[in-house]
Amino acid sequence: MASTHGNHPSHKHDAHAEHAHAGPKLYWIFAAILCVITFFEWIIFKKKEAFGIPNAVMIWTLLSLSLVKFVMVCGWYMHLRFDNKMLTNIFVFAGLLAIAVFIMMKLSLPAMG
Amino acid sequence: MSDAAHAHHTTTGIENRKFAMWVLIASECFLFGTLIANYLVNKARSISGPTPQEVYKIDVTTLSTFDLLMSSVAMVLALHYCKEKELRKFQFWTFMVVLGGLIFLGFQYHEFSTFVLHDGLGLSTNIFGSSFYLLTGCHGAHVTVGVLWMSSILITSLIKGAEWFNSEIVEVAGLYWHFVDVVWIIIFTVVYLFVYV
Amino acid sequence: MAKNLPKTGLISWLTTVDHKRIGILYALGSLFFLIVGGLEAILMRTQLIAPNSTFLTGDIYNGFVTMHGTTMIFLVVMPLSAAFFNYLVPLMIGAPDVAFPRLNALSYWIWLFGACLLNTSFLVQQIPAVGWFAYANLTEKQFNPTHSVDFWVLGVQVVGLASLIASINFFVTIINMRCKGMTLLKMPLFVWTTLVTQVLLFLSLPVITVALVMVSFDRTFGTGFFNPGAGGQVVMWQHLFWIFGHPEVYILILPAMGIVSEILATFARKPLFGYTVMVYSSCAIGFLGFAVWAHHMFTTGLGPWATALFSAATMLIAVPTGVKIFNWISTLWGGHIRFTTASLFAISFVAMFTLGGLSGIMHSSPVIDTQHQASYFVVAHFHYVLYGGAVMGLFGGIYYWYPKVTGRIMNETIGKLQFWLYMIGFNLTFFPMHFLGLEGMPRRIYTYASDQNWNFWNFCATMGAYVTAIGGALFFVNMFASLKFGKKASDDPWDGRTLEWSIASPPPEYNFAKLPEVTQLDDWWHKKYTHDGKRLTPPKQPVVDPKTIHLPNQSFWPIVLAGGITCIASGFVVPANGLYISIAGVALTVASTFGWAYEEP
Repeated sequence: MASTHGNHPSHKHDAHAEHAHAGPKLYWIFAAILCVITFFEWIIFKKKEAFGIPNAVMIWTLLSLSLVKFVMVCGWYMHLRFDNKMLTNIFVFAGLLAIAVFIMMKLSLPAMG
Repeated sequence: MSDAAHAHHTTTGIENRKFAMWVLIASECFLFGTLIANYLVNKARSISGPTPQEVYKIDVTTLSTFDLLMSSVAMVLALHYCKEKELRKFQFWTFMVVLGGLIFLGFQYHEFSTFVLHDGLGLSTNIFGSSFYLLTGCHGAHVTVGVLWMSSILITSLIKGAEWFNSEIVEVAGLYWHFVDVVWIIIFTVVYLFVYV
Repeated sequence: MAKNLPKTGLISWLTTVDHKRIGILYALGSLFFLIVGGLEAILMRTQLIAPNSTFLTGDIYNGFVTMHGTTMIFLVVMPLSAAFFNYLVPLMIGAPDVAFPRLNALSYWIWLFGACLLNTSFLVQQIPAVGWFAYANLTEKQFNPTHSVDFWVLGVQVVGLASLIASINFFVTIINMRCKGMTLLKMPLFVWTTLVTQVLLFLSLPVITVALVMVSFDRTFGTGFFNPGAGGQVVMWQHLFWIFGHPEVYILILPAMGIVSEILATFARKPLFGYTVMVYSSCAIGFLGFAVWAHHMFTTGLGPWATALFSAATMLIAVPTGVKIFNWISTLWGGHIRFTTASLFAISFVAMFTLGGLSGIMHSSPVIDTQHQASYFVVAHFHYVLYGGAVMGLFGGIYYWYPKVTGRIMNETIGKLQFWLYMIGFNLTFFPMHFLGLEGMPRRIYTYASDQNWNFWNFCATMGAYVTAIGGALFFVNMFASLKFGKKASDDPWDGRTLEWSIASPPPEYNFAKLPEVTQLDDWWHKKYTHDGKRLTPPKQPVVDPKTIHLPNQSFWPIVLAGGITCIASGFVVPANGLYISIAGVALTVASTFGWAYEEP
């Protein structure tokens, strides 16, 4: 495998020790959580009127649930949580910058027409 | 392509190809960012033709979202068994990734053909349709590339057997696959669940 | 198969994966297109030498406006910068090559084929005439029914892909392949500006990729992204284009800024002043570059909030830029300055770029910009920064590193003559354009009436272009003649500060017999001199048998894969059967990818 000359050799060792426990069992638990979250998203969407959920609450709830799924997949399935922080920094920087740029763009477009 | 041939020292300790995939993922944030932003700007600007509220089928889309999430689980398991050098399990879970991807593409095909044939929403029918197809079509193209990649990995493993456990390659392919899943997580929420927003 | 490819001759160049050869290929390609873009400029200026000229028709002139800009940006400055990234970055960080040598070759061939695709438009007389920025909805099929716009769209798409691939390669190389002891803050400033440039490339290119696809789709499939009649918005193109386009101008200038930093430090025999601040300024410029794009759109009715915020961000970006200017001046100040052609170009960069920056800061006020917009004042501004800035800096780099690449020094007499002809010609052409702009001369007009008060300055501008052309001719003579007749160069003819000067001129294929270990910034300098300037004997490169050093194999897959990708693009510009050509391209691309993946690297 690749070199062990990481920036934080001890941290990497701990992470790998931890990761050794993160076998199939943990992945299946995460899979179940992801399914449950998706199910909730679907329910909230379908029963919005029935439960009397205001639009703003629905929006922020759904965004938060997606964010949780996003962090779970990126952090654990993509291993960001246990890898060199540089990878997380690059990804988060790009993601936040993209969001900022496109919000700026949307605000600079005429409202309608 | 033995592991030893590729294992060389890097300044950060991160293998070059893995690093490159993360840089590509960072770049793709802007690719999909543009497509999503364009969709959100245009979704309600059609002059005529079907609207998203009229055509989206959230039940089917939720199923396809489950499917893609499960394919991500299959992917981590495939990588796990590759590292553990358990050949049959590695091949099985790699196959499940391919299957999950193909099922997802099947759902996409079903959705697109329903929109075109049943709802009269083609690529150039209206600006909502164009923006929708551009976004989900691009995502689907990424899934297709992923399916081809994982299929090649599966075939290579089937041919080479126990002498091929290149977990570095499988990890990099996995990162790509998970990212495509993550983009769908965003699309599912922002495009489909926010249809009335 | 790859191991048996010939090591000399044409095939060796077509299958090379050596970053040094690829750098040379980029340099030759970009210098060829410098001639093309220069000729386009000469013809444009000849048309404008006097009012009511009929030398060129309006259509042809518009075509030249488009192609001159597109060529100079995508086919000259960017690839010439890439030539420097390619040749120098591995040497400066003490690496044997880039992270992905075959991918590196792929970038070059994609670029070259894309450049050819773009210029094929001349051969079939369908020259794009929409400006280098191709504003919608002029690009719609109803306004441009021939394939001219498709040539532009696909040409830019393909060369953009080359840059995107290369940017990932260089980013990984710089972060991941530095020699022992070279922390980020011990890298030469050129490597830092290259790093920031790569980040700008891989983040901004996807935006224009999408925008170009939208134009293609509008033209080919009848979508209405930029058609107001279908609910689309014309201004959306401008946003997407400039979200790429503004970072793009920093992509154009940052490499030259890095080159100038290296040259000035060497020829002042002083370290670069304020190295750490220069690093942070480069990063700040890169980051802020994403926040200012709509200053190209002040007259589109953004609304007061957007206008004010973009204006403020634009003014803010002048700060790190100004800091760099002061640092360059401070580098020279109190130094033992040698005036060589290289240092003359570098010094002129500082002066000319400052002038361009001043007109730029004027544009940052939306009130003033409303008068400047679409006038020759803007043409003056961007030529001062891109030509007086980037191009001058790049020329400096050529003179500076030519000895390293070729083992000979370019003739200094001809070089200085070229420099002065360029300075005179450049300023004679572009300084008057400030006046022309203020006198109301709009951009992109192929002729003008004789009573506008524009005649004299236009005449001057054209004369400047002819002077520059003579300088350009001298440059090419010098470059090629010096290969044979130039004074032989030692390993370190300029007494440089960075690692590339510690190895032979030209370097061996493997770069370093033993990978260097550094302990400080400008480590090579400190191996030659103590802190109080006493000479030391630097360690010599150990003698090794080249056969013991493993080099990546040559490969023909990069050029084949590049052909496949270009084939896909070509389907959009042919009069008939385009779909089949694109499909054939896809097949070739996929097959080449597999061939590549299963080859022994």
